Amino acid sequence: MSRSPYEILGVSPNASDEEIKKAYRALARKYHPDKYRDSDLADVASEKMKEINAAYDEIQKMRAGGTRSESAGASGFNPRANAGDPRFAAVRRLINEGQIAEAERILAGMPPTQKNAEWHFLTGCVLLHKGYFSDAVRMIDKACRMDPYNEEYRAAREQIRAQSQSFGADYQKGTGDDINSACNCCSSLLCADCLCECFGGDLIPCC
Amino acid sequence: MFGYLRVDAENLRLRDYDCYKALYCGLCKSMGHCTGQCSRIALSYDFTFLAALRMTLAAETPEQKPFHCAVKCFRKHKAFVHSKELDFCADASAILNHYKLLDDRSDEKGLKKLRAHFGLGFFHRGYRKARRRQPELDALVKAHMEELSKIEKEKALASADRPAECFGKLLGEIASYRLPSPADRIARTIGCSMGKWIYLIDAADDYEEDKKRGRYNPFLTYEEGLNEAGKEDLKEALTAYLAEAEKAFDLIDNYPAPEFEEILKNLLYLGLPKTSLRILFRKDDRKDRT
Repeated sequence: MSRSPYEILGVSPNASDEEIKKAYRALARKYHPDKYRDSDLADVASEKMKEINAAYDEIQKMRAGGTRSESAGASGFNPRANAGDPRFAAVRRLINEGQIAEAERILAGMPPTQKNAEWHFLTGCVLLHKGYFSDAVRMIDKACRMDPYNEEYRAAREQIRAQSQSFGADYQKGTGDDINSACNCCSSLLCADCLCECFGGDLIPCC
Repeated sequence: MFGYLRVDAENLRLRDYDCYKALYCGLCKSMGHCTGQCSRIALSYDFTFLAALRMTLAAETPEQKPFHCAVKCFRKHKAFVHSKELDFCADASAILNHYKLLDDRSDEKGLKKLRAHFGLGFFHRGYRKARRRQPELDALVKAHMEELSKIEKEKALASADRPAECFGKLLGEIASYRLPSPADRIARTIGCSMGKWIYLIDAADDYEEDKKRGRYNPFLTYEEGLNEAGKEDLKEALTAYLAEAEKAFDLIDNYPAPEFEEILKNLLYLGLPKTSLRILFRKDDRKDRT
């Protein structure tokens, strides 16, 4: 399957540089590796990312000019080790390295007396990585309740909340709004014309 | 456990809605000739979605043909015909329905048990036909359903996601069954997150009744149960599953029919969030508006 670079970016061959940049940015956001960090489909997404990067580079080369300014800034799970229990530091390191099963084993093996806020928070993180969202939300919530002044737990909770609120925002914006604004534009013009006619003028001569 | 994956029909364009209906009617017809006329009663929206997903990923656009239907007999309706994917979904529906009824027969009490018992007899012929056509799928569903009922019996476990994940995997397997790579992995991820979503929303839906009758419900394994705060949290978790599915949807770039894209996106972004609000907070948009 060989598609032209323009087809890959979904723009017409005589699109302006600005349009191409916009299409590229939108696609890059769509397939961004950060988004697929915990997903099984990370390699499929990175294939796509490579494809659009290559397409964009090729167009740039063809048009001989402009340099790419976008670069992926990878952000990881906070690696800083707390001064508390060394086992928690080990768990944080394991989560960062992606050894979720090992981290889970250590957490599960801790006695109930040591199940403090941090334990709940880290268990929540492990569950998040496993894709157990409803259990994870419960755990992180509990951590926030046990230690309400901890910025880290609150930030994690807020992140989940923000994700849930932003879901589907683009789709709903795209349905029907543009049609409405076009209609609104026409109806306001008609209104303005009527008002002008009341005062003896005329905005749209034909009606 | 069925019937939660519905589109938000009010916000679907007419041509997309027609396509959705043709898909629904096509699945019904496929069920008729694959698994027998009796099985057509078990037609569900969930498998209509599955058919749209699989047809998209297998890049299949079968023809639409007008035909007469016994239920809506006065007009001809269009339906997709000769579709491999629709036939597969018909078989999968018969198989899953069979195991669901088996599960009900062993776990439920009273009227529901009786209903499951007669249902098994009624749908048995269809199930046999489906099993003959898809023996591997049958084994797959059987293994997952057994695992699921094992997890549900471990009552000490305080997790709603363990059983949900098991059901999700099952749906992922059905969605990705024999699709070409990498489409099968996209389908598996979508099926898996949708399965978890269905399982949890179904559990939330039955929560009050299960509590009253002392039946199994994943949220009853939590010490605090499913209270109002828990519902708020669950809403966010459910959205997280949808966001997970969204990521996989974003990787599909060949929609064989543009209508399918609209149907799938409408379902994901409008239909499912609406269903979760309706079930969690018993909120009905239609009543709110009037």
